Amino acid sequence: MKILLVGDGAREHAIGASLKVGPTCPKLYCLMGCRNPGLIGLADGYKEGNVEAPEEVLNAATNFGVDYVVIGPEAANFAGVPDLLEEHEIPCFGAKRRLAEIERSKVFLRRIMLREKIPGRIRFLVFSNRDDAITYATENPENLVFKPSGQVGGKGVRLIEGDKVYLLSATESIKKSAAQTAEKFSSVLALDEKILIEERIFGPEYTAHFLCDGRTFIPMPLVQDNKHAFNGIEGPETGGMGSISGPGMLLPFISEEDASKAREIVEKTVGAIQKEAMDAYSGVVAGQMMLGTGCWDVPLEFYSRFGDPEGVNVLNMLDLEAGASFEEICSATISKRLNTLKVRFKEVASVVWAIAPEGYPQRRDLARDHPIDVDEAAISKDGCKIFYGSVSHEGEKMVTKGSRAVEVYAEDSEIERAREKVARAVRHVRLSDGWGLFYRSDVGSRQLLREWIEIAEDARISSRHRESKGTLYRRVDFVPGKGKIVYEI
Amino acid sequence: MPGIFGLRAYYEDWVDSTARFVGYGLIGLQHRGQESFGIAVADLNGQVRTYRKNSIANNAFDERSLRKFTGCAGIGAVTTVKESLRREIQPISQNRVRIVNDGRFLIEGGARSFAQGLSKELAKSDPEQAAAELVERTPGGYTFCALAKDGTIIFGRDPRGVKPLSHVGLGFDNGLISSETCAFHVVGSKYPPQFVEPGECFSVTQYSKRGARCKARQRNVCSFEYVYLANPLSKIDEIPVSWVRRRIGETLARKFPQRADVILGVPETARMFAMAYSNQTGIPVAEGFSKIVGERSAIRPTQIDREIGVQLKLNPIKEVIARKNVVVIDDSVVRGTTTKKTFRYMRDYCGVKDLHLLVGSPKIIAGCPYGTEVPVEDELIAKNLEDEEISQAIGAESVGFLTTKDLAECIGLPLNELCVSCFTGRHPEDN
Repeated sequence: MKILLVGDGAREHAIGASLKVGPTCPKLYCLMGCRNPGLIGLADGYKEGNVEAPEEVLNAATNFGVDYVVIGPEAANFAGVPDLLEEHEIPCFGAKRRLAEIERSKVFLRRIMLREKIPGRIRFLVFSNRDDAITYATENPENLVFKPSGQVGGKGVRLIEGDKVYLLSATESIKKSAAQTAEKFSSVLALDEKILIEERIFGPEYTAHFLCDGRTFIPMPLVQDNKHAFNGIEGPETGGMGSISGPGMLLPFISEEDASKAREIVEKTVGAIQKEAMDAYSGVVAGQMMLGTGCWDVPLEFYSRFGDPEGVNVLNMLDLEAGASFEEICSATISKRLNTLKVRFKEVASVVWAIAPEGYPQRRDLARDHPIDVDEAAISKDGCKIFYGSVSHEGEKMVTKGSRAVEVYAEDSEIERAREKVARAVRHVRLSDGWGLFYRSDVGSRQLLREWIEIAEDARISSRHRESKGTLYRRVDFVPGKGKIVYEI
Repeated sequence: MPGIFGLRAYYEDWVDSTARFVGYGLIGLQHRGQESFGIAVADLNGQVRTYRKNSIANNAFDERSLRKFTGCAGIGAVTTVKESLRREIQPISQNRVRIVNDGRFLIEGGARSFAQGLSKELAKSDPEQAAAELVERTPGGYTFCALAKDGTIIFGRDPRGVKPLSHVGLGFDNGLISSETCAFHVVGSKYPPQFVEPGECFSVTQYSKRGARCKARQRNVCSFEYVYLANPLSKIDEIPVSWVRRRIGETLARKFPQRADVILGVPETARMFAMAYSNQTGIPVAEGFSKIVGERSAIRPTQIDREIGVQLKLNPIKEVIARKNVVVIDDSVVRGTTTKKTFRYMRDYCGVKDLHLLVGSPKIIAGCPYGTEVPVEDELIAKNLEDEEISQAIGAESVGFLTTKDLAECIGLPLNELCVSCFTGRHPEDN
């Protein structure tokens, strides 16, 4: 068995490591944009190249003579890598272009949910130019989220806390800039509808991953990523600074009921897009959910791949003794027989901390090109695993590439205990030129968990109220002078 | 007891908004100081501009002027002192930093000398560590927030944690620092606040936030913050001020169950005590005073100012209290002068029958070593008179105070982790 893995981040390192363990002992080949030291260590062969160029992936797959391809990053899905591979009869664990549209276009996602009356809908408006978006935000002093209409690696999303009317003029220029940023990022994707404004909802976020072969959905443990750069839910938005999962399939602040809501939303949405694309989904799909005040569980966006770092949690939690290995899962997904497979997860809690050079995410120019030292033996002695992200093997040394450099994983019976292991292990990562590294030491802390539990409870109370009033998807407003206004969402 | 606030934006499009957000943060802290208002903002070219006014925050806040202060890092303070020299209004400028502080540095030269030390440390590669070491060497009860020309903000808290300080995120856009968490609500933050630990310092730039902590000392959180100084919307070190005030009322009800027809809380702070007393005893609570003007009077700089303020606020409503046995709950009794005048009026002109005074704090018998304005000892009624004498002097059937032990229980911290210096006369640094 030979497999080609496409991608070069910590997520792909975790995918590669998971593919290699288990009874089938496949040979692993990699196509990567930068020389990921973790993947180089695992691979039986690798090639450097553009992971988003379908022809390059096809060539690599053909040259290595692999049985199938596993896609890591969403950009490869958007570019139609799985589509081209299929044309050449190379099976692929990864969503085809039209199916990955649920991730690529945030407007498409909101519209399909609206059309199919899928639960988890929120108010949204779409603008094709920034002036209209600014005018709307100025006339409606509410808490809003500005988003580029498409997925650009989570970039360009801005929260405008606009409910305080006295702050209206002080936030004028920020709204302008938010609209401009969203427009700029959407232009990259050549979308006509550039700016998406959504009502800002508040609550704990969690990611619900599912393995999907087009017919069967197998849920993976829920994971919570932490997007803020600094401790205490503070700092600029990052790709994710750390994630927690478990113990078991749920999170301490997410109930069975929330999880089943998330499942219904993901299954129905994927069902709708399969109908529209007249094609079957293959790979991993995830709802990046929020248990929001007054709206229950809402997908903020969809992933047509594993989240990063969330994928590191779920892949490492696979229970190989009781169920299938990840390679067996990929094979079964490709041949559409996931329903015959026993997939089990360990009854553990897991914690991942991402470590990034200072400068990330605002000043990547400062965060890149620092030599990094990792004492892998010491990390493993502390009971942890390390996954390399934005790090490249150059000559004799490893250097940072400007984003999250490594991710450290640990599991234990409780989140807090896994966190303690990670906290010990991160000392073994440093930059040898003296530049600073940072991480979120509060990810997995009791304090932060307590806070999320409380926020989740607030969200349930206000959601129950709207549900009982029938205003979950039907907002009733009174505007002085205009009278009653009803929004159906 | 000034209030300090800071904002470090992580996105450059905050350049026009920073100063005004700091201004609104200070409006959220104006209960901590009504005499001066100042903001310093570092612009993107390394220039710092300072806006200073000798007036209460919501009058000093001028949208049009503050619009011209551009930058992504700002600090500010409201204080209880009108400064005759403009440059003495916080934020003060010393060497390469602007600094705001609450409390007192117990060193020669005070805040300026501390700022001088901090300015030297700023050049180091880990300024938060250097600041924590400086804090370790600097006795006192204080919090500070300093701004460097390059927009780095350094903030920290004394090693005993006497004065409160908290920080929080506002969306993804910026980090906020404030004496009290109530100011975070004012500028729209929805996240749970974090509390700066005693002896902990942070440095924040556009792309980093790093913390360091000096060697722990005996914690001595100011107990008077919970009783009176802080806004009930705030939490101090995880403990909601509103919970403490409810428990104070309940404790008074248990210790001093009076046979009364109505409970009055005065001033505003004591209304929470009165409601809890009423809930506990079943005796109705009423609004027995009408307020003509709204500023906080006890923190005015001079005695005459304070009395003018109190008398405009405390107009007893005869129709609520006539022919009734009344319990008045106050947050504290300092000189007893305003209580005396108010009680006299209630007896002479409002037809009150029995009049009991309960106080939601222990007896104030000494000054504050950390700068909260308390008169000299021979002006303090509880330092000089026994309970019965106090009753006679102010004209009450009885008076009742909490003990420091009661107060510690209401706050929910062991007594030795609180500063109760004004109630005992013992300086926490002597422990």
